[in-house]
Amino acid sequence: MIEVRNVYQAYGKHNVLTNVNMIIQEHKITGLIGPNGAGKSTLLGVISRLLALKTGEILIHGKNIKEMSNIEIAKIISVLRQNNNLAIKITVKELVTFGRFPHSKGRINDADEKAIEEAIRFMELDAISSKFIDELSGGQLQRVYIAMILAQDTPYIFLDEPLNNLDIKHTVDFMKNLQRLVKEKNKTIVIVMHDINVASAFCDHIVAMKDGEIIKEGNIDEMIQSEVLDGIFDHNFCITGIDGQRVCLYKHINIEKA
Amino acid sequence: MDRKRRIILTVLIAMVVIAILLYLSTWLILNFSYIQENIDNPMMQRAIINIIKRKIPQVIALVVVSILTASSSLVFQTITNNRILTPGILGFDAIYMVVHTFLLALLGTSIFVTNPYLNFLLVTILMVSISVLMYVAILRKNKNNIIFLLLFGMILSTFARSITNFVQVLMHPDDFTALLGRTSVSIVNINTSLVYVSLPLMVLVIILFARKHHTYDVMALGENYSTNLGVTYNRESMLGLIYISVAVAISTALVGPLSFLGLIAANIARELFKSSSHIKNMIYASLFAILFLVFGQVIIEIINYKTTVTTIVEVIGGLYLIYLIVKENRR
Repeated sequence: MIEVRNVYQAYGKHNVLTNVNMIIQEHKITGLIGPNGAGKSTLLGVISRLLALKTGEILIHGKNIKEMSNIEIAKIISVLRQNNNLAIKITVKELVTFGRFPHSKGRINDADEKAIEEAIRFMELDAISSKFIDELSGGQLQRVYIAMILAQDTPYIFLDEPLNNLDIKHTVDFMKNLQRLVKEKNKTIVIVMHDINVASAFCDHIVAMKDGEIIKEGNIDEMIQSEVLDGIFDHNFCITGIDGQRVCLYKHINIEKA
Repeated sequence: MDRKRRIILTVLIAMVVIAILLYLSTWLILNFSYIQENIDNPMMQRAIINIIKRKIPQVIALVVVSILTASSSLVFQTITNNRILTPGILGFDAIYMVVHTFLLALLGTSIFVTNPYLNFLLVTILMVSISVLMYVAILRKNKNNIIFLLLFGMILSTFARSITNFVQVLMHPDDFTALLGRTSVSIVNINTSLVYVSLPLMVLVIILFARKHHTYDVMALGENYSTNLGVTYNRESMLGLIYISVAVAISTALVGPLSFLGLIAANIARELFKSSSHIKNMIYASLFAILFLVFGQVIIEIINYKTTVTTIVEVIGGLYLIYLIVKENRR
């Protein structure tokens, strides 16, 4: 269980996070939504210790993250940030192999080899596993990164805007893969995203942030409501239902007319 | 591809061995007829033994310095996340000179100056502190700004050299002579008295680099990935930088500044072998560095010391650096 307690974070005088408290829902996909500058990425960074925590506590299974070694955390939490440009020339398999570093410290044994192969198979990368990563398309690359995190084999996975630069087909494939991870491998996933409709279609739980605070959290039915979203995004949404799913319309004809 | 790599490696190793053998025997080959005529003369025999005694520590120094320069350049490039900078280009060896000069000017005849080992220790410690300071203040924040770092390196080394000159002018002539004796080492004039003493330290630094090679592989992915994979990025960078400073201090103390050797060796190894593994690159780059230094030295001896290896390395390295910058800018 991961628990966030009284987290404050500031850059200079500017408060980015104010009194954030949350408990991450186990074995679910949690979508972190909110307008630009709401502090979503900062919150994700702080929980996954990519950013140094200023005040507050992050507890993993009741243990403070500050008292744990980096390698210990790396076996529990894996994280992928936006704009992950790699300048080095390595193959898909080599990159996935890096995922085993927390377990093997670079000395790959049979168990590691197995985990790597399984990750590659799960993300359907067999055909391109010996290609160099700079030869891949955006969608393929995103799958390779997920394979790397799969090889890392952590119960918790944090993703910072992984859907940027993906087209609709790849977005849907990507989210379906995440759902498979939760279902088949019992993972807990937290994902920062912008598209509310994707969140509505694929997430189990939604946390909405604004101005560094968590405004409201809950399941899809509770969260995808115009009263909730209008306040968070300062915009008038129209929520409707199709196929039993809730969908936001970004442009509301009646309001524009009035 | 693998076959091609193996062939290159075999040729490279063979060339290194030939270069070392040539280095040990250049004088013998050049003066063969003369030596043959006088082989029975005890003076001649003593001279031969003396030359061999002088050549062996030299070759050890050249080999170890090459390995240190190549490995430290590779690790430095990983820590600063670029392919163009090396400790030499950023002016680490110029810092060594400044520290040396200042110590002599300020402490004069203290034990820390007169005893070469204590002196070396103190200089190394000071150098490590300066480079750590430099990392925290400048390198870490401007990692991706190569042009800025190049400019910074240029200014730093020019500044360091000017300061060194300035202090030297103010010095007492006796102190100046002492300083020259200590700092005017070069490939031709290797400080052999330090070779055997610093050998354990050099081997230690090489082992430290080699032991961390998996960590450096991960660090090449950048800070976020490293942290995700459980590498404490800032601490490892700092540690790496300390090793690098020690490596530069040792090699500068032994053979003087070698600005571009690391750059050439590291980049040619990367170009030819296209490997992302640090341990492999360290081996390849070290072999190239040894080849350059030792073979260059052989040529210098054949043309009767008309120039120095350092000059040749600087000419080739300078051109190569310009090529790299142009290539980088075009991307």
